[in-house]
Amino acid sequence: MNEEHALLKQNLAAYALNALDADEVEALEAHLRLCAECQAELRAFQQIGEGLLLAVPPHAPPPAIKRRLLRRIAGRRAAPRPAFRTFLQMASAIALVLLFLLNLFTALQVREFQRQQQALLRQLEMQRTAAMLLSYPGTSTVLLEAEGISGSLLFNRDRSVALLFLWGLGPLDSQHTYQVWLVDQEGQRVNGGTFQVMGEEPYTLVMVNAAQPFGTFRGLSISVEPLGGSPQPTGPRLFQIEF
Amino acid sequence: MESARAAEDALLVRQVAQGDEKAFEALYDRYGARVYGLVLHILGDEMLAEEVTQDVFLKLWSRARFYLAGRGPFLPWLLTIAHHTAIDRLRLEGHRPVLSNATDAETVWDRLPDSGLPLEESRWRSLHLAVQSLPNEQRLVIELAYYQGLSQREIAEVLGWPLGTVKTRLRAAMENLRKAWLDEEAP
Repeated sequence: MNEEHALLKQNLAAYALNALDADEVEALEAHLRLCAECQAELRAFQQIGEGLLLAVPPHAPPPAIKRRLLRRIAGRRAAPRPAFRTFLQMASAIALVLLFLLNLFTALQVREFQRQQQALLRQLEMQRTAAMLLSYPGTSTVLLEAEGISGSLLFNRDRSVALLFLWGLGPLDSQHTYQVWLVDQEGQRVNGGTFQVMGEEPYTLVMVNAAQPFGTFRGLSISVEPLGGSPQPTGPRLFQIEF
Repeated sequence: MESARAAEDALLVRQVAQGDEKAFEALYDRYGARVYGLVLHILGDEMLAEEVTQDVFLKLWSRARFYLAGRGPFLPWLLTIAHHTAIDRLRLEGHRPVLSNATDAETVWDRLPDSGLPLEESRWRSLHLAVQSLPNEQRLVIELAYYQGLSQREIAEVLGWPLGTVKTRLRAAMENLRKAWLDEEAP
């Protein structure tokens, strides 16, 4: 240990001047961690190293260096910026994100209000249609009962519009739609329009518009069809009403 | 007097860290000649010394926040950056490996002694004289090791001396400087 200490101690001066080779540095640093005597001696040599920096006489630099330096830094902030600027930037970023989220929330709310408004308008239109139909003589109501589904059809043989009240009809997946079929006297199915069930109301109100008065038809049915509807029924028929 | 100057330096460095160009100019006016003198001594070429001096002060501009006034005075910190920047430039010019991370302002503290040195002009001159008073072969190894960044093995190769001789002369030079300079200030 003493022999090793004496050997490594001889390297302290060179270590203080960064003049040791890499393999010698590792061994000395390991020894320094444990040897207070070497640590104290190293401090003295390091002071000389620091003194050697200061011992070189000053020399006036060419004025061009200062001009170039001041030009280089002109208008540029030292990096990194002071903490308060970083804080302000962070606060601004958070405010922007919050503003964006608020805008997004507001846009979604507006869209929801528009959807509700359209639903209310449709409902109002159907109620008006129902009131109009009821005011005509000859308006009839047909009740329907099928598996899990019930409801009624309000129609007038002289009019080409009718209202269908349905209970127990559930929403479909995004690839399918309900389609109304009007059955003519020859038994042919004529497209009466498509509709979706939103599931927000316990019942569904459907306005059925036909090309001819309902007196020309003998019945109505509903089937499940691919989204957009079909020219002729392809899916399962849910129920059929005979007028 | 010295502590007042150190406090002024610390304040100027803080202002530089906040992007104060006037404070930067003030520090350059104070220490530009010391930095230029050191790098010119190391590089021995005015054009290279100009470039390295500029690099050193640009490092000060961008890395001033790494100066810790509580750890020691500003000038040794700045000159240590200047020393490593110049040695690295010397190594690049001579196609020798550079000191890894040695010029990073945040690592300078690892290379400075804990206790600050008296920085009076007379103390610098006395060390300068102590170096000049060394026997030629001892002054040469100090010059090559510290101001040229050579290891003892490289010095041995350059001078054609046995490695053991280089080690002995370097150690003797440092011992002499310690006696002449540090023991001088001891009570």
